[in-house]
Amino acid sequence: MLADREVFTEIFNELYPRLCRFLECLLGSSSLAQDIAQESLLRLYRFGVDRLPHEEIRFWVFRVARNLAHNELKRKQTQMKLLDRLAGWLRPYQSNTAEKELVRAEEANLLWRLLKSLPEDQRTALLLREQEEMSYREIARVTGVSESKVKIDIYRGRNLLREKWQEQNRSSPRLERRFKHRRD
Amino acid sequence: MNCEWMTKVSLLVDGELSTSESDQIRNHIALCQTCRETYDEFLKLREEIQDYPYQRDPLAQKRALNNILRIGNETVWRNRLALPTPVFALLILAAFLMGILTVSLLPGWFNDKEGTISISPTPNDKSITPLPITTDFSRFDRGERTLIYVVKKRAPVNSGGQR
Repeated sequence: MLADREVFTEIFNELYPRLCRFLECLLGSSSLAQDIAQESLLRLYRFGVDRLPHEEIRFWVFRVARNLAHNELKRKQTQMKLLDRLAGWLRPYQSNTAEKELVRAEEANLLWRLLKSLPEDQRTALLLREQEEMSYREIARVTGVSESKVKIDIYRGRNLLREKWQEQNRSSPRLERRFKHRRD
Repeated sequence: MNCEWMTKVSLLVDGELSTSESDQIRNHIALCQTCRETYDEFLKLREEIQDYPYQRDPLAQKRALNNILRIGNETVWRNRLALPTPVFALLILAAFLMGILTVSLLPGWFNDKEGTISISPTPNDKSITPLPITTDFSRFDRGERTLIYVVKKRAPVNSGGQR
């Protein structure tokens, strides 16, 4: 029993930050990402770490996390639309200082806003590929779709993201300077 | 402008092409500006996604681990004792029926209102002196007589005092 706890703790410390990062990009909320990450790893603990081969554990946990996130996104879809509209109405009434803070926050979350514009399937596939460096076959196992769909989702996601990014750069040259600085 | 090779550029970025296919697309990229720009932009996007400013929270991580170890252990015992709902309902029903059956088999429990038991002649009848109880019945062979108490049930008395 103690050995199980030690093994689980080791797996937890390895997977928890990666799950949180993936879920935060997928959902756009760090608190929600932490909740779902905890729930996914709790299910792994209840299932039993010794019941899975070690190399399968990561895919099992990401599959559970992705399914929980999918349920959460469906549930909150309407709420998020309303909140976005409200934020848009409130923006012209904010002071300069608040506006600067908001712009800084927007820049930091620019990537998330660009990712958010992608359909959920494309966003999930792209994040699993770029952040977790999973192969197309592994992504297909986690998401429960065919490899061909994963290929198409990743290509379309990248294309759409690229177009949105170019649009943002055209509309906001400061962002272009920032990205240019980071690239150099 | 989209080139028909652009889909393969995405596969090249992910290393999902064979060696010969990779060489073919790389040769094409060297000649096609559209595909070259696309390839560069795909790599930049990868860099941006990998550099996403995720803030680690060690306190939240520790709290999550403690929660899991605590909740997970409690649930193990509950899972061992828990029964599926239909099985649990059947057990309750069986226990209830067993209880009713047991109570119904108890002597006189349902006879309370059916009537009283009477003994004839009554034990207090002083005109008759019953013989002591014995198991020696040979005296009846010699013609001896004794008094036998007859026990019979009477019908219940209704509110008008009639049986």
